Amino acid sequence: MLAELQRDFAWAVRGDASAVAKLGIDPDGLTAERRIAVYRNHHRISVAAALAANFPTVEKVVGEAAFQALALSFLAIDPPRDPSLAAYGSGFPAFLEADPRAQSLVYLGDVARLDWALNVAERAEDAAPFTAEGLAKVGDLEALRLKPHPALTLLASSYPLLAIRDVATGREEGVSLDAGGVALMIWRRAGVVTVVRLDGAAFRLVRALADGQPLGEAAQGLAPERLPELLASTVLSDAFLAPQSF
Amino acid sequence: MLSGIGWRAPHHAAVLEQKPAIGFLEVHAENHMGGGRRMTVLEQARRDYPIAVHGVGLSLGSAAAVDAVHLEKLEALVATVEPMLVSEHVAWCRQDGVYLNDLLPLPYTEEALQVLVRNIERVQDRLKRPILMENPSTYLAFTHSTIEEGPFLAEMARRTGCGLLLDVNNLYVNERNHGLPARAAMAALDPATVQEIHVAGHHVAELGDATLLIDDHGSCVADPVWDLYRAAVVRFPEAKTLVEWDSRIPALDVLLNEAAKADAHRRTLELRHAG
Repeated sequence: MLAELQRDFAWAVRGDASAVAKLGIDPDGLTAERRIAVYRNHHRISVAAALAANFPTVEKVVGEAAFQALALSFLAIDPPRDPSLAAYGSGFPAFLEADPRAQSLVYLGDVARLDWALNVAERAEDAAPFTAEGLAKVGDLEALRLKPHPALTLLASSYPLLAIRDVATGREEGVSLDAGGVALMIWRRAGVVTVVRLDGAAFRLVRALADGQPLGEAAQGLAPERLPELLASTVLSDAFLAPQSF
Repeated sequence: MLSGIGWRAPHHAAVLEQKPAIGFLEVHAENHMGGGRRMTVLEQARRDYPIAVHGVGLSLGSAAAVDAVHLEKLEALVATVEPMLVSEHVAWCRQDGVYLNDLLPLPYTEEALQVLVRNIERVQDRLKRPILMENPSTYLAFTHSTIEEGPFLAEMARRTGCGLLLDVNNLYVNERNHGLPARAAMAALDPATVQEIHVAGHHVAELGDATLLIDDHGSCVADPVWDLYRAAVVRFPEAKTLVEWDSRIPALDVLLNEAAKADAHRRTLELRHAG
């Protein structure tokens, strides 16, 4: 009984008007449909607001009204599954890229990926990082394999994402999409969410390590004199896990 | 016994800096699952205040079993924060794996009671401590409900050993929305079970020919709710008070003023009682 009621109620909240009649709601001065609408509206508005909090740059780029419409379409096909709504929206970047309404904003999917990476960096689990002290204890550096910290995202885009973000947030007047792409490392360094733009060689090194390649292979093609500095500023700056945390 | 306030991001810095004279902070569990700065800031707050952990996502009214992954996260948070109280709701919010982000109403039936009892026991076994369960505000009632709200809550507490978090704003909202007498609901509760009282603001929605009170925690506590609060303090003198304010969050001073009002009501009643 309760299981059926909750199944029908959930469908009614998610928009299936035909489910309302089955619920046995006492009208008491207000129709069952209008009573359910209170829950339906709260469901939609609160989840859309949570998505906006997780994708603030996307909302600024498209505007509040357009964001609301996109959020409700996304909610219908990919609703939250985790009660922590800060974790809602991992599929939103791909959804935006496929949605016809966003086709004129070719960079929107990557803007969403940057928002999501910042959100992940903000709230990912704490874990002991791999440090210079840890590196000093490694016997065979060539064979060293590491695991990325859960707060780390590596994001390569064909678009000038940081400049687009600066325009969206009013810090810059304008940006040309011809300005070129970026390779970004987004993570929590000393507890602070950090975005760093890497050059191609540095990005390849960090990406290869994050993909599980041994350091010897990951560093191939990199000028040997750059390795110590790059390891210090990226790999050994809270971006990877201490071996005991694996 | 000073009242507590909700721990909300816009107030974090001010609370840590000003260290206002409040009894405790209530943390929404789902806002503190994971790591990062939120947890560092909460660690700082723990040095100054007792913490209550208030969950909204366990869906203890669901006919389906408690979500094991979410319960594990709550267990980890409770282990980290070591709160003085852990609370959840007489409601449900999950169906077929989808989280509906609301505290949805239950029919008050023996079946729903048994579901709640099973789920509360699961949580209490896992956390190895009793939890408090909060009475909900609702915008509809089911024709097949067979038990009044007060006796339903009392029986849930009796069967599980859980405590009650009595939200007097919710009682008032339900009284206005459904004609459920709030004082009768209070009278049905064993005074020893009520360990926390919530007060909050609500929104009065005019829906054409009907009025519905919406529990939005977005304004000052209404006068009739303060009346109920005073009655609750007399009946449940050991219960701690918490002022909730979760939408349109005001400056910290406004919230502290509400907490001071609650303290003043309590002091007046205690003096009267002593005299």
